[in-house]
Amino acid sequence: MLRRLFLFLNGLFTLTSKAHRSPFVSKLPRPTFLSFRSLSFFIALSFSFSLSFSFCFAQQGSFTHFGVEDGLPQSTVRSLLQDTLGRLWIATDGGVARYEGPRFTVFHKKDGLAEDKVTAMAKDTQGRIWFGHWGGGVSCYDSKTDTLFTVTLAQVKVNKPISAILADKVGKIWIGTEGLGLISFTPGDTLSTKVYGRQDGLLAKKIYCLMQDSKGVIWLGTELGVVRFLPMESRFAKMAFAEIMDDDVTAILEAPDKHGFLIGMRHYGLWDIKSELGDVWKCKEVKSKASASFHAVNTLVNDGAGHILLGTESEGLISLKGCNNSGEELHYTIANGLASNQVLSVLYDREGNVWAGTFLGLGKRSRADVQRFELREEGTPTPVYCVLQTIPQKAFVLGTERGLYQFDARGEQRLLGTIRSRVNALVRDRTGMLWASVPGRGVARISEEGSSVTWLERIAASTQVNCIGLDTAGNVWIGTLREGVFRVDPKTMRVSDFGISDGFQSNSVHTLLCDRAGTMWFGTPGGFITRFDGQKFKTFSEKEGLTDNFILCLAQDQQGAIWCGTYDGRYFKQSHGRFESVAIGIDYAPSAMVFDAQNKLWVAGGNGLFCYSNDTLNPSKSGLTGIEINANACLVDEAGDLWLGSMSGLLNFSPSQSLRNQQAPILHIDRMLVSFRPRLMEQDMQLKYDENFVSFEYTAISLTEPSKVRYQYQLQGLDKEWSPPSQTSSISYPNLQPGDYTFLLKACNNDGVWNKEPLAFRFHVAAPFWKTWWFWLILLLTLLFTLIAYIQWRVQSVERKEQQKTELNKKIANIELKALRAQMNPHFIFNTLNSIQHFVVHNDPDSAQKYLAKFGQLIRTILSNSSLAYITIAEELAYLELYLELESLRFENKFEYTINCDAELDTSEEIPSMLIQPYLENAIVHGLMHLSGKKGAIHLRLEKMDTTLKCTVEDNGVGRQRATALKAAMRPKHKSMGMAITSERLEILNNMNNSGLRQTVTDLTDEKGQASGTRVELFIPLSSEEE
Amino acid sequence: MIRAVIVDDELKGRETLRTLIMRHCKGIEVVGMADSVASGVTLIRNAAPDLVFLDIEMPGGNGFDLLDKVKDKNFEIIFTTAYSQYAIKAIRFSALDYLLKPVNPQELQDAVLKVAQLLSASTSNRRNVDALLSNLQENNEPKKLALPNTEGVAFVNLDEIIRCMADANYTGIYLTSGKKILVARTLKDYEELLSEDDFCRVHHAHLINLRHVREYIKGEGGTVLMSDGTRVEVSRRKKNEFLERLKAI
Repeated sequence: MLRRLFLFLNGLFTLTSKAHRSPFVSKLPRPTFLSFRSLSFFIALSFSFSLSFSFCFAQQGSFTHFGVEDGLPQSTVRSLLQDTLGRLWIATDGGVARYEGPRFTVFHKKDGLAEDKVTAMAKDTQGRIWFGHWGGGVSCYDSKTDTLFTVTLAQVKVNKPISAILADKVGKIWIGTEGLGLISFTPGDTLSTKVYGRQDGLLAKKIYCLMQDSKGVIWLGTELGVVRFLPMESRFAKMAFAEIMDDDVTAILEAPDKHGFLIGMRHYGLWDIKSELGDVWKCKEVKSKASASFHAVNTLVNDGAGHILLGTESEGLISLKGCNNSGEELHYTIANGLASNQVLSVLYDREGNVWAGTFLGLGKRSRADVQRFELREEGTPTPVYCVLQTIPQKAFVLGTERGLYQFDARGEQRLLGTIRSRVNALVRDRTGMLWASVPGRGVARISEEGSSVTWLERIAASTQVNCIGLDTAGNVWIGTLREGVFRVDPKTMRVSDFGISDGFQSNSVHTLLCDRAGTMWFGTPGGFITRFDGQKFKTFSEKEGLTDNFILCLAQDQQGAIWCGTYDGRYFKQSHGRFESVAIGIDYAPSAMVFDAQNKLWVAGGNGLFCYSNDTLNPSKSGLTGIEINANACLVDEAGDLWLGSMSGLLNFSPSQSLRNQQAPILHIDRMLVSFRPRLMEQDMQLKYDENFVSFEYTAISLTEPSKVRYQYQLQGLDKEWSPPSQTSSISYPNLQPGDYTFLLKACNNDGVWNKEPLAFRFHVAAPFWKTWWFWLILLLTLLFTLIAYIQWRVQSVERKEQQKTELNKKIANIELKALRAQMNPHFIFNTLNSIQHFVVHNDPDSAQKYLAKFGQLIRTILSNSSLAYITIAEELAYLELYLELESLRFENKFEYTINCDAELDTSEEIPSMLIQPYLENAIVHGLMHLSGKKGAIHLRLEKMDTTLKCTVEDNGVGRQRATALKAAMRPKHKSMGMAITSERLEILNNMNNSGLRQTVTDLTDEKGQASGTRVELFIPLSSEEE
Repeated sequence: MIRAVIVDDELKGRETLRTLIMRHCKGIEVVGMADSVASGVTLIRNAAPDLVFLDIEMPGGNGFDLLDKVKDKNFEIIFTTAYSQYAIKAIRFSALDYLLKPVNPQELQDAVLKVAQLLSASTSNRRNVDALLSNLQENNEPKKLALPNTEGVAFVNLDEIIRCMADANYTGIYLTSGKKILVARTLKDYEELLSEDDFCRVHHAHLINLRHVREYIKGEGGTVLMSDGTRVEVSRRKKNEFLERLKAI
């Protein structure tokens, strides 16, 4: 449908052209030879002067305003500076603002500034920014530590405004004051402060500007002219120029070629000073195009592209081409968006934007890379349909709505010829004649000066010519709508025509191209592409890969391949006799296509201009939008500049000074948060396992269009791919697993230019100790060890128990054995036997027999009782009586004894066997044996006390004290085995049965207090009660 | 004729001994008897006997106390006791004679015969008595060992003895001085006498002083390196006991 509409409109255009047919032109009936009718050269000339065309430059760019309402602390912008991170610093009378893109950060006195009013700014080699204040104070911002602080100068008190500040190449800071001359100091060295004055050869007291040139010389603009300071000689020298009056020098700029300077004076203009032969200087005033002097230049800036920017006191911002104002001179004033014509400071940033600090705010002009030349008549821009370059340089012939124009890049132009209607196609043959298609009139051949115009008779006035071209043989080719293609030999004026019968698929030719090999290519609407190699025509169609038959544009790249663009917005590239579809990123139908010297394809179409090159993934739109380029109205001049004919004039730009903002943003990670707390960043950072919530906040600074900055990030170790581009300037990674990570960040500017090298920050999240292999190993070993230790302990404990049991049993057996032996006191036994021997020796068999019988009975009782742990009280009593009887026999009745048994006592109850005997023996051996003078007595008494048997052994012997003394005197020391064994037995019995056996010993005394014996009480729990 | 006195607190004891002496021994006459230390001292001073049968256990002082109190000990002594391990040990240390009650007539005859020989040879055991008393004075444990040999009696401190080695019915005693004393007693006697004093029978032929062990060299039974550099074999059976006792020191 669209295609039909296009054809319909094309036809309609032809009809209207016919209606405007000029009455001057008539057609001669010569079918094969062209004939021309001459027109008066004078008529043409008078036409050219009678029409008042104004031809002017336009679209020089306008300023965007930033004021207090946008975040500036105050509107008087005295100084501008871009730091190493790309941030813009703005010094105002009310503080400093830092522009990082969409937002301003403001610093005041409370933030560390010495004063709010900042009059000068400079950055040093360390990345510090120095501020000079109105009241004489100095402040400094250190970007490394992000701190702002006041600098106190030693030895000197500055109370005059600081009008200029300079950080020189060796790190010294120079301060120009209005009234105190020049001061210098080295940061960090308080003794280095030096005030320069008359004694140093510096007569001036007011310094307005400071500049260090490429040779290291420091230039001072003073109230007495220009003064140079040669640091090597430490000498000031006033520059005396005959042509220049001594006046306030307000601005100094080293020329872009480094061979001179520009000096701006308050009252006597702008001067270009060139050094010639050493120290001889040549002065020349730089004047405006209107030959006026530039007065009161506040600041001079070089934009790096050959332009000098002047910030003036009352005339706004002026841009000059070169030091001698040789090119265009642009004036930017309130009319161009500046808030004030008083421009105090100018900055040309790294992206090519111009910033103007004015008395009433800040202005920004984006880089203007397209120049538009308008041909105006009665206020309406004249459309340009075709562009033809003529020799010499930058001289063009334009085919416009109102005829042909000759034009040069200086802006000079004139009408060419007498045609005053639309020219839609144009070519210049080898003889220098111009061939122009004038719709409704036919094709005219015009002499170079335009003095003669002849019409080509073979082409009817009604024929719609779409394109005219020249082949390498010098033939002129004319493509028409529906009437085929004509070839004219300019020498013979012989015309040939070609159409479907010759190999075309259509009789319409929309565009034609002669490639560098001399082959002609024809793009047709609906008939694909036809090639003519000089012999025959060949059409490339679907078979050769062209999937669209409506060809609008043809172009040849630097490698010689033919490209085409179609009505459907598809693009094909010829390769090995075929055409291949190429995705160039746009789908507009092209109106013009051309390759530049860098082999970049420029496509005009839709509402703008696009660029495609093989090494760029994304096509970028030029700064040219909203302008309609006419069909095939494009040209690359020999300098590589593009010239385009549009409905609103001629457009020019240099692809070499790319349309794109080539400067990728400066990227900076502002801070890192670990679990919401800021952390000082260091490469290869080590984080603990629980510090796994990591956030980054970052900024990419691109001042051209801060709002179009996009970020992409990737956390290597987690993300497989880059994030989609986004405007978010922070990212959080919660719950990171242990491992190595690299945070990659990149950003792009408004033109989609990304950082080539992403910012990389490496860090490591440690594994929690319970996830490390060594922890598991230790754990395993510990468990294993514990298990082994437990098993061993268990085994040992069982063994120990066994051993204890065995030992106890052994001990019991032992003690029982000992108890038995205690009963069988050897003394007692051997003495008894001795006594029996006596009876035997002395022939007393009765006594011996009686003695032996009792002794035998005793031994039997002991043996029988000792094998039992418990015996009845009755048995114990019988045994004790027998023992006492034998003892008294042995001691020849030296003592008497009594045995009392409580009647209540049940003598059939059991008690531990043979416990009591040792007490009796003890009483006899230690108490009674040593007794002299009285008969011994021993009393045994058994009583029942509740559940206990109380056994009392009482003697009237010498008492314990004396017995011990006697014993001590004995040699060798006799060990009292009996009692020791008994005590041990008591203890064991108590341990085994928890039975509560105990004994008490009481020393008895007579009336005089003399020792009169011992009482032992033994308490034996009765077994029946235990159960 | 040997003049003998009996000191014993028990009448039966005194009379039995006197009767046995009269019946079984010739050339001996009991010239007096005493029933306590005090009366014994008086009797010895008055009677000046050649031989004293001295009971150790007596009330109000024992036999050793009596010896302390007698100044001129111009007599031989045969101790009599029913049972007194410690006294007997001391007596044996000093190589003196004793009789156990009830008295075996054969032992009595041997003892008296030995005394008769001593008397006729004009030698005396008196130095042994001094040694006995000195040993008794030290805290319970006798430290001086009397070694009767062909040259008389040698008194050595126990820590001077490195080892004892069996030599038929004799025992060779090796001292720190490097001297070897041959004693007419069996190694078993010395084992009994010394096993409580850090001596250990490590081999059927060896009794060593554990305090003189320098090194133990492992082996089936092992070898002990003594402080004088001699090596003593340890028998397999004695190894454990030896090592345990060595550890206990």
